[in-house]
Amino acid sequence: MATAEAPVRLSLRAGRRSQAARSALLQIELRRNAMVWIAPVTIVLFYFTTFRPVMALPALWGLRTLAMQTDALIAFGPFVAGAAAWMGSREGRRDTAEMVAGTARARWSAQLVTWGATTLWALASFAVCVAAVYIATAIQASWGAAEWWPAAVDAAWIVALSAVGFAAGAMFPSRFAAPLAALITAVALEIAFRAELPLVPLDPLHPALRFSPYSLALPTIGLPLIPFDAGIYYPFLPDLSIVQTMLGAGLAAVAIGGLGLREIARRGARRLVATALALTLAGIAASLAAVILAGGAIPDEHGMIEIPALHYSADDHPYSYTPACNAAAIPVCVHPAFRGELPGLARMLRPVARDLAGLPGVPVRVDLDASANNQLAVATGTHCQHTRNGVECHSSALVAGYGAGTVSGTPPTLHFAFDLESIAGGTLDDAAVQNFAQATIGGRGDTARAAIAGALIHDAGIPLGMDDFALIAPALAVARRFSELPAASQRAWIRFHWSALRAGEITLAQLP
Amino acid sequence: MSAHTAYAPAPPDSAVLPRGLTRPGAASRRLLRLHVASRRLPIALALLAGCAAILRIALDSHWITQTGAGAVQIPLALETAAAAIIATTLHSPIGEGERASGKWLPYLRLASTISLTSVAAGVLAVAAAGVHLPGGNEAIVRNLAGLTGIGLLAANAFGGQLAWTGPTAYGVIAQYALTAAWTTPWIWPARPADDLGAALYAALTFSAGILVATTRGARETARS
Repeated sequence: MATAEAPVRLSLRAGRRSQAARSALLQIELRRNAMVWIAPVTIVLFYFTTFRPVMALPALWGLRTLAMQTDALIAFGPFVAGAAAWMGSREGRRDTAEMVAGTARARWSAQLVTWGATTLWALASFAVCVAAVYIATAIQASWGAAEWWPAAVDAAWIVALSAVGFAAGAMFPSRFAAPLAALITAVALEIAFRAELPLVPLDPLHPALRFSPYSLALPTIGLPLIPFDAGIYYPFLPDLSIVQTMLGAGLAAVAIGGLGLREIARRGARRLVATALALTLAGIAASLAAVILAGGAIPDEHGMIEIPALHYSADDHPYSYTPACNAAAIPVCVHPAFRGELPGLARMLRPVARDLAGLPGVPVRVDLDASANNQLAVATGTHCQHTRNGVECHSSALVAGYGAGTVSGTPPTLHFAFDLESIAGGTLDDAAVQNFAQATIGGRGDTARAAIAGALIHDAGIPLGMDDFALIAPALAVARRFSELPAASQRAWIRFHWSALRAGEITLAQLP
Repeated sequence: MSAHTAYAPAPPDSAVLPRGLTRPGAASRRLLRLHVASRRLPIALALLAGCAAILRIALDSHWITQTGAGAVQIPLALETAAAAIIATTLHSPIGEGERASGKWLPYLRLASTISLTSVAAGVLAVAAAGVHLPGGNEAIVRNLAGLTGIGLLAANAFGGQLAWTGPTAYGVIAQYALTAAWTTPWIWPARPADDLGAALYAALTFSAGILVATTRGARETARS
């Protein structure tokens, strides 16, 4: 019995020893790794080029995380590739490759530990940066849950760039390996970013977007492909992120597997052939699958990219939510994700609502809906088709970010759409007041109504211009004069003359 | 041939010199040749030519737009690559022995960095000849000089082999500055080619880099 158990025990002991040796080697590589010194540089760059601009965006999970994806990769990618190439070329540069080739551990196995340590440091510094963005967004966001796919794409590509850089450094050991790996990565990311989405203004009234769906498999993602309301009204579509992650993982496997095959061919350790070959083939398969899947990408009607083979039909159903409304004379209701805009909207609408609330035909509520801020997601009929040049999308009408609102329903409710610029640029409050005044009083073609609308807008603190509401010079002067009246006088005059004003029976000369 | 032989003053006994070095000027030529070889300058020149070739391909393929941030980003990336290559040549594989015995070393470092920067500016300008490069040759010279200065300073701070981190980090910040419309002259690639302030800051950085590279060279650690 004891004789039969002996080989098993020996094997277990050898396995444990091997694990301990690998762990010790990993600890050494973690301590003596170039990425340790480069990580602080990447974190500082991330702060300047990613964290600050992302935090300047509205606190919406989909928008912020998608915007982070490209910028973070541009900050991290070149340095990760450079550090990995540096570590990969170490033995070649120091002429110690032959010396370590004679040790018990297979070269590829030891290289994997070095690469693993480099990648762990890169991922750790990336995790610190991502945590900062996600924690800040979690504190600020009023609705929704963290979208992890953009971070997963970046993580996969950090692993890929580390693997490619390491393999390049090991194959071409030189003092120039690290800078070249870093700068080729920087140029490649820049070209990928540029090649992804060339905007083609085929028709100024019906804008079109043309892109090659294959380029979508790359991890950079252009602003037109980041819908403002991603994950707010409809679920966040992970289709594109899945393809990008697949390509990143595939490239990493090809680079590491290819390096293994090269080392095994040069220095033996044939027991690892199957592993290296399987890794390489799996990487090639994953990369090809990702590119083929990306070839079928189409923009969906909500502004995100849909890949039919990966699409989950449940993602097409809109989220149900209870609008967040304020308690004003004329309440304003928005999606809970935009709850933070309510105080400003209430403040701006207060003078207008004070004068108009309760009058016939005046909306009893204002509903604001987000309009996706890209030409793929034009709600009023986007038509996309595959052409020789890729996918072309044409919109049948422009959606104005805060164009004319419409009053509908019983009791009457004012609906109007807003876009990213109106929130990011702080113009949403102005837009709400202008929409409300225009939709309620009107004024186009009627200078008296235009003057009253202009006066109410001026009361809200918006400077009067001659562009809106047909405010010709005489109407502008009357609007200024009306706006200088005491609030009670304004309210009394409007309430007394409301029916006549709406009927167009009051002329500019009759205004106080 | 060791560094001691290469950089040492002429020994009194010409019999110990290798054959051929007794001729006038032969020792200087040999010194120069060994310096060029130890800094991998031929490879650096080939890589600079590669950067120029990529710039030409980018121009011919219309990857470089005529206006906006896209007009500057790819040329800037290639100028960053050239500066990183120049800074990396500052690394010495010989180390202490060379520093202790080479009285001509500062002059050699000065000559090699100035020559490489001039060659880089020249080949990039030649690559852009005959086609419109936004900013023109003035922008190439200004950006390259400033980035090279950063690379040389980084070589002094981190060592020649990690000198590439300086221009690369600056390049990433400058790429962002182009889209964010930063206007500080410290980010000279984001300023117009004829901007005097940006040119002065770039020249200042280049001068500081050259001064440090000439007098102190790249940082050397026990490990390197």
